[in-house]
Amino acid sequence: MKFESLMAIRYIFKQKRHSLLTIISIFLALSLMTALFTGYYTLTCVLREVNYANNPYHVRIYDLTKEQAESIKSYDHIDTVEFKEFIAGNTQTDIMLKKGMKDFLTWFQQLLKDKELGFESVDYDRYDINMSLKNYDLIDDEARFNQLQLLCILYVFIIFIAMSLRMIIDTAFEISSKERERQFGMLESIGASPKQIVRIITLEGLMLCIVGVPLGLLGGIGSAWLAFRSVLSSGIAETFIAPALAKRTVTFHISPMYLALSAVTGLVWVLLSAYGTGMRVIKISPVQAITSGGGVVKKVRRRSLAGLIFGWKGKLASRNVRRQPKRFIITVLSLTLSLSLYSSVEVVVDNAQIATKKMIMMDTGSDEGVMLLSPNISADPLAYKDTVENLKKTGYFKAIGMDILGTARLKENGINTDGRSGSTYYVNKDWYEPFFKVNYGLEPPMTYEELEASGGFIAVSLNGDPIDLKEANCLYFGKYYSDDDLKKLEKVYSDGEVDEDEFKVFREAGERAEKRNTEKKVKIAASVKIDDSAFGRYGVPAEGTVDIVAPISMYENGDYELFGNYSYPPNIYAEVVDNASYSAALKYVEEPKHKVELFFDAVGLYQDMDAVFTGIRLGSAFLNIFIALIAMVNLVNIITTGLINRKSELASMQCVGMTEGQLYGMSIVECLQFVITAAVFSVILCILLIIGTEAFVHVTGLAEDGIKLGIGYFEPVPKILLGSAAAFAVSTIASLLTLRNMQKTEPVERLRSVD
Amino acid sequence: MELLKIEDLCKTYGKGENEVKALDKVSFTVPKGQMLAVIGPSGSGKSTLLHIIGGVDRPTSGKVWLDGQDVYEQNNKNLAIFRRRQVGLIYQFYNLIPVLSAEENITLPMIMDGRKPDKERLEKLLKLLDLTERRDHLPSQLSGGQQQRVSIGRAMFTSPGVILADEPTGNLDSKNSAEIMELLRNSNRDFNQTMIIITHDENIALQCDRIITVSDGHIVNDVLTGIN
Repeated sequence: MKFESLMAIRYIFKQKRHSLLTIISIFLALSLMTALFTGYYTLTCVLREVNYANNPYHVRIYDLTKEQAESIKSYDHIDTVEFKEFIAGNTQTDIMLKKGMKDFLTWFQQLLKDKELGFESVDYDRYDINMSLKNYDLIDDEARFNQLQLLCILYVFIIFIAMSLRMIIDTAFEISSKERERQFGMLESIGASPKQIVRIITLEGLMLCIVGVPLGLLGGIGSAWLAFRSVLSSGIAETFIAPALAKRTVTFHISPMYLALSAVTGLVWVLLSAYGTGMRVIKISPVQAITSGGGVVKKVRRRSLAGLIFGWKGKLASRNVRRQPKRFIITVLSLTLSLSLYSSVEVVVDNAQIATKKMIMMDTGSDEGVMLLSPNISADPLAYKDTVENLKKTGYFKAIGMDILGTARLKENGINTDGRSGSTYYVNKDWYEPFFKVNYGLEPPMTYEELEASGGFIAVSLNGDPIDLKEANCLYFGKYYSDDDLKKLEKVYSDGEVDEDEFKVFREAGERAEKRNTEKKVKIAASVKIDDSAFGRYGVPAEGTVDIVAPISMYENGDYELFGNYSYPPNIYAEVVDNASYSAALKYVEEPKHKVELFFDAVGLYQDMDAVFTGIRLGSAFLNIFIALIAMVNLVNIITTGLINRKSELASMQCVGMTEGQLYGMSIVECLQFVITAAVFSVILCILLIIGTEAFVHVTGLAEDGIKLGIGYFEPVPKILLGSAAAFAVSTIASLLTLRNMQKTEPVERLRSVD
Repeated sequence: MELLKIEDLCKTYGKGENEVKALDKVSFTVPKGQMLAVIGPSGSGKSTLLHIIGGVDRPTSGKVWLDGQDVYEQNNKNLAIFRRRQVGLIYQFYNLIPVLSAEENITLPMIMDGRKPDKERLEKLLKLLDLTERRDHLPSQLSGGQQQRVSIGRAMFTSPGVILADEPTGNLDSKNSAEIMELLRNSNRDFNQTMIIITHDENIALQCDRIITVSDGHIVNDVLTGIN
């Protein structure tokens, strides 16, 4: 081994650039693996901490006596037991367990039996098992198996990525050993055994690992930490977890076990690469290694697209890139993966964000985000006017839309006589157009002013025959409450939230209320019909019903009296001026004295969604950068190796008259072939992914629920082109630099030997 | 009429103590159509001389004129064009392009020049080289003798001013060597092709019109064999 280690050390220091390249390759590969493992571990720990903060027990048993709780402490596998007694007399006992038991459920049943805890039979209401925490803490075999399963899935995913990582290490060894083939041949010719040659290269790999592996682990931890900080800066944690809890639980974690797993995987990768390279080197006979420079080509493709486009340079380039088909395929695959990921993640996240906004928009009619409010109930049916005026005065809102749902329906010529009622809406000007869009998916048939001037309703026929009437009978259902009940109702609504008991008050008051129906002839100002294709706020509308829509002035000018003696709580759609006004507006509506209740906060939801999507974007950006780096390094390696391996061949071409320009041109076409092939595959892959997802949406029935993918087949193409252009630029620069470096020696010098 | 003129050609490798003079003030001329053999012991500077004549290695000093043109006054691009049009190089280890077929290797200099290969000439040459049946074979599918014939074909295809052969038979058995030499001889005779052949083999040298002996970077002997 003395000879082998001596040679390995000499080669490392003699070929500093190659050693550095190999160390960088190991560093990159290990960094990605460590970052992924650390990211996964941190996520697991955060989830565990959040779970523990909310439910700090593996098992919680209710209504034990203090003695019973005490008696549990001495039982097998118990870590801590915490007993709590409440004023009402009920108790809860929180138990935390130690790791290492075989089967939790058997153990628990035995505990109930042994300690005589008053369980006649299994009574699920008297205990709660925190299965998630049990799994996170690896309490029993099942938990360990579950976690192992998850780890295996992650490991398979990482191994998949690591396939291209191995390429990096592999090509690094390939480059350095290729340049020394002649020297290895010479060593063999003077008596070194093939085993010794393999050992030299393997030892070299191991020695480079001493520097590469720790650096890779540190790089991985560093980049995982950076990704973690960036994702947190988007506010994603506070979106899902209360800020105080988030601060305590969302922290960065490093696992020695995962670090060891990364290191071992990296080490095995390096050894395999070094050993594989060694085995390849010894297959070349010493004489061949000493005398020949180029590889033996047994078969070439006669025709190629590159040849047709770029002539003889294209033909040569096409044959050259296919001299090592396995490497060509792997490099193209890793580049394809990188381009597809880069383009599809962006497109998917963009579309998911748009789709989420659309879904919110369907409820609110605004793509800016509105706060859906409702004024509290009042004995004055027009009391909401003050609430709206006050909201306007705040200056936080640029538009305040409003609709009131009245209990009235048309009763004419067979319309609505089967008991199904259409709805009656009184809409204000700000909300008039969005109202039609949101509810019926169409533009209003006349302007708000025209509707007001007509003094009538717009009849909207839902999946039935259009209303061909100028006038119709309308039945108004009025409800009149006693003063006592009105007071009770006001109290119910005063705190903004209605619980089950309060709802009972509302229902009983409704039953006691006096009902008065009024029939009145109303004018039909316009009529529209919508069909199945319309998809409004309430989904596909019921067949045969007719909605009537009128301006709010009609309600305020007298219609309100037909509905009873209390204010209908209208829907108020308040659109905030800007994000800066949002906090103030939120504070305003949350104060009970302003007598307004916040039902749905689309602005807040948008902001939360934005935080989530920013988090996803940042996280995927880090992954993208890593994968792009791997693809780029692979591409650069394969291009450079290809040129270095053909050093003497290129020299002989120059000897028979190839100019430097022609040489550069050929090399650029080679780069182009990698990039174009990868780009084409990426486009195909992305289209297949989109088609697959669309098929999934249809097969799972999500399409029937109105979920549409909304991604154009060629939407990822611009991003793929951008990524391809970057890859092309990097590979071209690398190949031109390599060739330029080669040109420093005369062709005849390069012709003489390969190193 | 002189085709090639070499004047005070010097080539030095290394610096200071490590300085080695591969060629030291070498001068001679070669008339058109002459077949010249350059012999000498290993390290005497034969190959260096050949490469400098061929425009693939630059001299430290001195001049090379081919057909009245100063070879090294040209820039790199023109030097490459000069190599592809004016020089045909034949190497001991053939130096064929492994991804190109025999036919493509032969026509490569012309293709690089952006010219369409003359089909008639190609057929004649393939027939002459006995490669018609092997025209679509890759170098790895050819024997050593066949590979060298491809290499000769490549050198001859553009009808260059001079063909330079660096030990063209050094890697071949005696039968193949004889065939190659016959080919070169015929080419010289039939097309009045100027040739410079570097060799260790005295028998090969004796088949040439003139023999120059090089030793330690100097011409120590220059004789006409009297064949023509």
